Amino acid sequence: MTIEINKYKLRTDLFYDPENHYWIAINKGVAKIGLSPLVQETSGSFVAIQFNKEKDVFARKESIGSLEAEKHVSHMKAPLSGKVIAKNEAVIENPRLLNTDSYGEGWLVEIELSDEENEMKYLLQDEEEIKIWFENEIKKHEEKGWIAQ
Amino acid sequence: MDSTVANEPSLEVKAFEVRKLHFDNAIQYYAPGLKRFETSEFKQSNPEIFQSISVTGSACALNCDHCDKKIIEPMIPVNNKEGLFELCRKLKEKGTETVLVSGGSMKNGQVPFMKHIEDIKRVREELGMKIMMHTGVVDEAMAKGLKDAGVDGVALDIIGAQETIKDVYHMDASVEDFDQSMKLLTDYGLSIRPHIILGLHFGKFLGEYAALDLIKKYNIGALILVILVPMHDTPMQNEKPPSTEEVETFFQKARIAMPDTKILIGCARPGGEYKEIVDKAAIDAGLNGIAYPAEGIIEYSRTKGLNPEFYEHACSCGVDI
Repeated sequence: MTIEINKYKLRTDLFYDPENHYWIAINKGVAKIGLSPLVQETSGSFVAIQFNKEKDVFARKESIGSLEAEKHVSHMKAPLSGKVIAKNEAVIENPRLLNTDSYGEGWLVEIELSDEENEMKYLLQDEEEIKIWFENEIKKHEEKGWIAQ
Repeated sequence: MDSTVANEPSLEVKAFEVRKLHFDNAIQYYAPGLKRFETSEFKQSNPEIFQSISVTGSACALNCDHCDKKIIEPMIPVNNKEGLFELCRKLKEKGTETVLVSGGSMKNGQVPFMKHIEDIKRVREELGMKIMMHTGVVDEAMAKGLKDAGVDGVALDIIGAQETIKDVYHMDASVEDFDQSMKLLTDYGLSIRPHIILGLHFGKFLGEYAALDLIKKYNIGALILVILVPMHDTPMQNEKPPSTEEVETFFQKARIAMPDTKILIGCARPGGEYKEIVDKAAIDAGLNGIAYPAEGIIEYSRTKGLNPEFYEHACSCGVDI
């Protein structure tokens, strides 16, 4: 299911990490992760993605790699603890997929969760909660001048 | 085999020796507010400190193949009714300390900033803000205007190949015009921070070494090296950036050619693994600073005995400004 807030189309059948603007689809203990539509706009075109080559098991908030866009460079913090079991090769090859098909071909990684029971509390799932969070985030981004008003 | 040749130190070793001879152990890292920036080693604290302004909004008469106005589009446009002074006053209220005054070019390669020159002087004198100018080619009236306005530094891209001026910039200018601009800015005692874009000719090296030869004739504030980024939605989007080997060699030769001039890696270069390689090469070649450093580079520089310093201005503003 999708709702539209301002011009942003947001799927509400997914979880969201409000701190890092990830969408998260969870299926049998595996989380598939991508970026929220607001990050795509405020970052500009994505130009490079790199994953941590040293290890594949991460605690929540640990850096699993870095993202670089025209207007934004940041490291990707793991939204949940676990083992990275898949990296999207298509998006590594063509980072623009993060802008053009974020909910589809532009996903980032799959993580096999190690502490699902305790860490789900950090995510949003309720549609009303997601709506309020996203509206507030739009306001914050506008105030910072990161999106055109 | 000639043992003298066999024992000759590599360019990389020579370049780093030159650094050690002419500079202390400091290495500067920059994260200006042109991009939001956070790595595990360096997090920008206030993107408002440095802002870039375009005196032409998103307009440019050149539409260069590598840019197609993409670089000036995110800059803050000057509202002609309100004026540059008022814009800077508002920026200062939000915490901005330094502004880059830039803009699109006219066909002759000049950025039309002169109608704002009185405002620029007032921004410097009345608001106490630091001003870096991105001028393009300048004539004598412009050089004098900049000196009278008291700007802190002047940045301009130096192109060393006529083919690139014609085929990439589509500009009615010559290599001599860039040389003359450097001379005028020098004569008026301005602090110059020329830029060389490596691989500018559709990803190939062409005029870069000529640009280096041109620049080294002058006493400059710092040399800024950037690398072609084939940007989406520009005529160069399908080109490849120059090889990292060519870039590495250029870094080393530039260090040796300008032993006591600060040489910095500017904001523009391809990301990902490419950036990791060239940033490491910059450290190994003894360059003095890097904007938006790749993950892990700050720690790497420590292993080479360097002491990192962090700035949130643009790299061309971080030297004596």
